[in-house]
Amino acid sequence: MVSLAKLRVMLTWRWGAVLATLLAVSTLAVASNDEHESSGGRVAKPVYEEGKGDKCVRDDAYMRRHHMEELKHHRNETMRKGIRTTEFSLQNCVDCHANKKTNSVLGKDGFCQSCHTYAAVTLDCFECHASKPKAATPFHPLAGKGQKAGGEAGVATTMHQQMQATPVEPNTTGGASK
Amino acid sequence: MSNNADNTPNDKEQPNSRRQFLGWGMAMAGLAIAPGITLFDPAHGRAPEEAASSKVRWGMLIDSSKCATGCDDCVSACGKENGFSGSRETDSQWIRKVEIKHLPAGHSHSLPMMCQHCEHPPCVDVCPTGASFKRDDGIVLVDRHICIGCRYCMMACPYKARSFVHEELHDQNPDVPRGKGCVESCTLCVHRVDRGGQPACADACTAAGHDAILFGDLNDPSSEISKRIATLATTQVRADLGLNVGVRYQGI
Repeated sequence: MVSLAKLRVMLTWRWGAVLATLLAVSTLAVASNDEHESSGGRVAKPVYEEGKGDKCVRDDAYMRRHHMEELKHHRNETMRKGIRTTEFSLQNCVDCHANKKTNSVLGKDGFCQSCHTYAAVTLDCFECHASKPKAATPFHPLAGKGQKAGGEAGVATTMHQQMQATPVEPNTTGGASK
Repeated sequence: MSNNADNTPNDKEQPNSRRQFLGWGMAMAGLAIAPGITLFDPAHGRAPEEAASSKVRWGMLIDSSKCATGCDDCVSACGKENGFSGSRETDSQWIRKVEIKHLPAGHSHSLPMMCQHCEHPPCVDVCPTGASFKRDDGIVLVDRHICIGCRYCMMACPYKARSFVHEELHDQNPDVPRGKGCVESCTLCVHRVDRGGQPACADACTAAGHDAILFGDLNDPSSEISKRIATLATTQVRADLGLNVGVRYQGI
C-alpha cells in the first residue's frame, strides 16, 4: 500500500503537469468526438427532410417535446366525440412530413422513424394508421377506382388492387327483386 | 423557444414561459376555429371542431324487397372503403349478405346484415376496458387504442357483427386505421358521416340503382328515413332483445 504522504511526494510538479496535459488532451478528444458522431460509434443523429409548407402547427421545440401528448389528446377527441380538426391529427402530420422519395414517414429516412430510432422509443402508431398520405381523396367510392395503392406491395395492397381490377357486376337477375 | 407562436400574424409577443406559451396556443386555437365555422359547413351542418351530438341518431333503413339476391355491391364497397376484400379466410367482415327463406311458402329475401348500432349495445355492456362505446350520435365503435382483443363483444353481439383482426395489415385507408389484435365492426363509415357523407354501402347501393339502403337521422322527424319508418311497417331484427337498433329492415 502506498501511503498518502508518499503519493504526495511522488506527485511532484512535473507529474502534475504531465497529468494535466493528458487530461486536457483526452477532454479535447471527447469533445471533438461529439461533433463527429458517426466516427465515434455513437448512434447517428436522425436525418430527415423538412415538411411541406413554411412551418409546423407549433414551433419545433414544442413539437419535439409534446407531439405525443397532443396526438393522444386529439385521438380521444376524434375517436370519442367525432371532432375532426386537422391541427393535431396524425393524418395531417403524415401529409406534411412524408418523405418525398418513399412517400412515407417510416423507413430509415422517414420523419417519424428516424427520430424514434435515435431516441429508442417504440413507434406503434403505424401498425394501424397509414404511414403514407392519402392518395387522391376519393370521397365517393366510384371516384377511387384509379387510386394507386402505394409502393410497397404488401398482401393488402395486392388484394386491394385485385379487388379494384375486378369490380363486382350488380346481379339484378336474382329472384328476390320484386 | 425562439420562434414559437408565430403562426398567427397578430401574435407578436414572445412568450417567456411555457405556461404563457400554452395560453397563447389556446388563444390561437380559438382564433383558428372561428373562421372554420363559416368556411366549412358540411351537409350535416357540423363543423370539424364540433362534437357529435345526441340530438342526432344515425340509422339505416334497408328495403329487402329492393335488395337483389346475389348482389353484393354493398359488401364490396365496404371492403374497398375500409380495406379488406374477404378473399382471405381471416379477413374481417363488417357486412354480409344473408338469404332468408320462408320454407312453407318458399318465399325468399336477401338482405345485408351488419352492426345494428343498438341504443343499448350488449358489446358495450361486456367490454372490460371501455373500448367498445356508443358515440353520442348513436354510432357504436371500438376504440382500438384501448381494445385488448379479448373478444367478449363478439360473443355478446346477437348479430354476429364483429370480427377480430388476426393478421398484420398494410396500406390501410388513412381514414380507417385498422390493425392486428383488435376487434372491429361496421363504423357506419363514421369518417364519411362526420364530413357530411353517408356510408359507402349506401352510396354503392344507390349508385347501382337499387336504392335499398337509406341512411339518415332517426331523431329528425323531417328526414326521409323517419318519414318512412313512421308510415311503413319496418322491423328490428331480434326486437325481442329490446336493444332498439339503429338499422331497420323493411319487407321481411
